[in-house]
Amino acid sequence: MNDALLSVSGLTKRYGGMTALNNLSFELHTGRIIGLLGPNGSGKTTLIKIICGLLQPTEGTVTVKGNPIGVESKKVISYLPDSTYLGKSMKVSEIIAYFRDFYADFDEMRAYDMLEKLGISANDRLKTMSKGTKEKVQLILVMSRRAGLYILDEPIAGVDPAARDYILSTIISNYDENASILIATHLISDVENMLDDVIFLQQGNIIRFSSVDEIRGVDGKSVDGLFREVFRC
Amino acid sequence: MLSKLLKHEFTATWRVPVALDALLIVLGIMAHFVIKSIPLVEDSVGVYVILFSLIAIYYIGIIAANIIVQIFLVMRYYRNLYTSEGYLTFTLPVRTSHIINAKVINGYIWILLSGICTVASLFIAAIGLVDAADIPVYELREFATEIGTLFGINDPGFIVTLLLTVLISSLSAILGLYFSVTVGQLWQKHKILGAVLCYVGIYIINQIGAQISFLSSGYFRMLTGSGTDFDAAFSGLYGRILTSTTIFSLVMVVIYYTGCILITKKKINLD
Repeated sequence: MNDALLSVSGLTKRYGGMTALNNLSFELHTGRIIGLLGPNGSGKTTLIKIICGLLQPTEGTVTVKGNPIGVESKKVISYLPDSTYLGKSMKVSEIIAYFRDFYADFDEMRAYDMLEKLGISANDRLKTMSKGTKEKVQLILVMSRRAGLYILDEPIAGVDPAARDYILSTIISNYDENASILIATHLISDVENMLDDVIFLQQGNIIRFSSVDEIRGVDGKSVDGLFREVFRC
Repeated sequence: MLSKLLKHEFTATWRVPVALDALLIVLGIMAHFVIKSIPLVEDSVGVYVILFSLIAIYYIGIIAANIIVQIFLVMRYYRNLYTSEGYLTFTLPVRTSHIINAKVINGYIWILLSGICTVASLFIAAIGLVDAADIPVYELREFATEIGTLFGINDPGFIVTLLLTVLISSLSAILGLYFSVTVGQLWQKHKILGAVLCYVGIYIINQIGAQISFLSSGYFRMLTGSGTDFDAAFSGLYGRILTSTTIFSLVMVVIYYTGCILITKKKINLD
C-alpha cells in the first residue's frame, strides 16, 4: 500500500491551447517542508488549486492519503491562498467560529493565543484591517489546524520583512512533525533555511525534485543560487 | 454539515432581506394612511392623478425591494462561490451538493418571506383604499364571491394549486438566478457576461413556456366559442393555467438544480 501523503500522477492542465501543467508525477511524504519553486506563471498556483479541489485537471489523478480530491482530502489539507479568501465584513471571532464548525482539527485556543500575541482584536472586522494584518489573520487560521498537509501559496509575498519573519516563525512553531508543508514562493532566500525538499517548476514541468541537502552537497550551491542559475532570464 | 452551512448562511445574509421586508410592510402602512387621507371626490381629476401617482410610486417601491433581495442573494452566491471567497467555500470538508443546497434553501426562504411581506403590504394598502372609497363590507363580500365564481377560485383545489404555483415558481426564480451564475463560470473569460446571457436565455425559455401553458389551457378554444358554455370554460381557465405553469416550473427547477450540482462538481475552475 502506498503510504504517500500526497500522490500526483500524470497531472495535466490545459487552458484551451495553453498547457499550464504537463504530465506531472510526484509524491510527498510526511514530516517534510517542501518548497514549490518557480518563476511567475510556472504553474505553482495551478498545481496547488488542483490539489485543493479548486480546479479540475485535464488529465491525471491526485490523491491525499489514498483518497481522491473530495471531502476526505479536504479534511487533511489546510490551504492558505495567495489572496484574502475571508468575507470582508466578518469579525475575526466569527471567522474563528466558522473554522471551528467545519474543521474538526481546528485548535481555537491556539488561534486566540496567536491573535493576542499579535495584538489583533477578535472583535475587529477584516475590512478595517491592513493587508498585512489580514494575511496574518489568515495564516493564524490556517496554522491553527492540526492538519496533515499545509499548502501555503505565496505566504510571504506582499508583506514587509518584519511581517515575513513573523509569518515564517509562525509556520515553523506551529508545524507538527507528522505533517508536511508545501510552500509555493519565488522569495527563496527567505524560506531556504526551513526547507527539506524543493520542487522546481518551469512552464508546467517539474525540472527538479530533490532534497536541499543534495543541492548543497552535490551541486555545491544554495537553493537560491541554483534557482537563479536555472531560471536565469 | 448542511445544518452548519445553513447556520452560517443565515447569519451572513439575514440583515438585508429582513430590512427590505420591514421596508415593504412600512411602505404598505404608509400607503394605507396616505390613501386614506385623500378625499375621493368623484369629479376631481386632480385627486385621482395624485392617488394613482402615489399607487405607482408604492408599486415601484415594492417591486424594487423584491428585486434588491434577489440581487443581494445572487451576488452572495457569486461572491461566496466564484470569487476569492470560493477558495474557502470549496476547501471546506463538505459535499458540493451541501454547499449548493445551503445556498438554495437560504435563498428560497428569503424569497418566500419577501413574497409574504409583499402580499401583506398590498393587503394593508388595499384596506386603506377600501376605507377611502367608503365601500361597505357586504358589497366587498359580494364582489369577492362574484369574482371567485367567475374565475373559479372558490374551489379549494384552486387554492392548493395556487399555493403550489407560488412555492414552485419562487424556487424556480432563485434557482434560475443561481443556475445562470453557475453556467457563467464555464466561460473562460467574461464570466459575468456569460451569466447575464444565460439569464436572458432562461428568461426567453420561461416566456415561451408561459405562452405554451397559456395556449394549452384552452384560452383560445374558449374565445372562439366552439359551442361550449363560456362561463363554465372561463371558470376553469385559471386553474388550468396555474397547473400547466406549475408543471413547467417544476421541470425548470429540476434542470436548474441538476445543472448547478453537476457543473459545480465536475467543472469547478476557480482561476
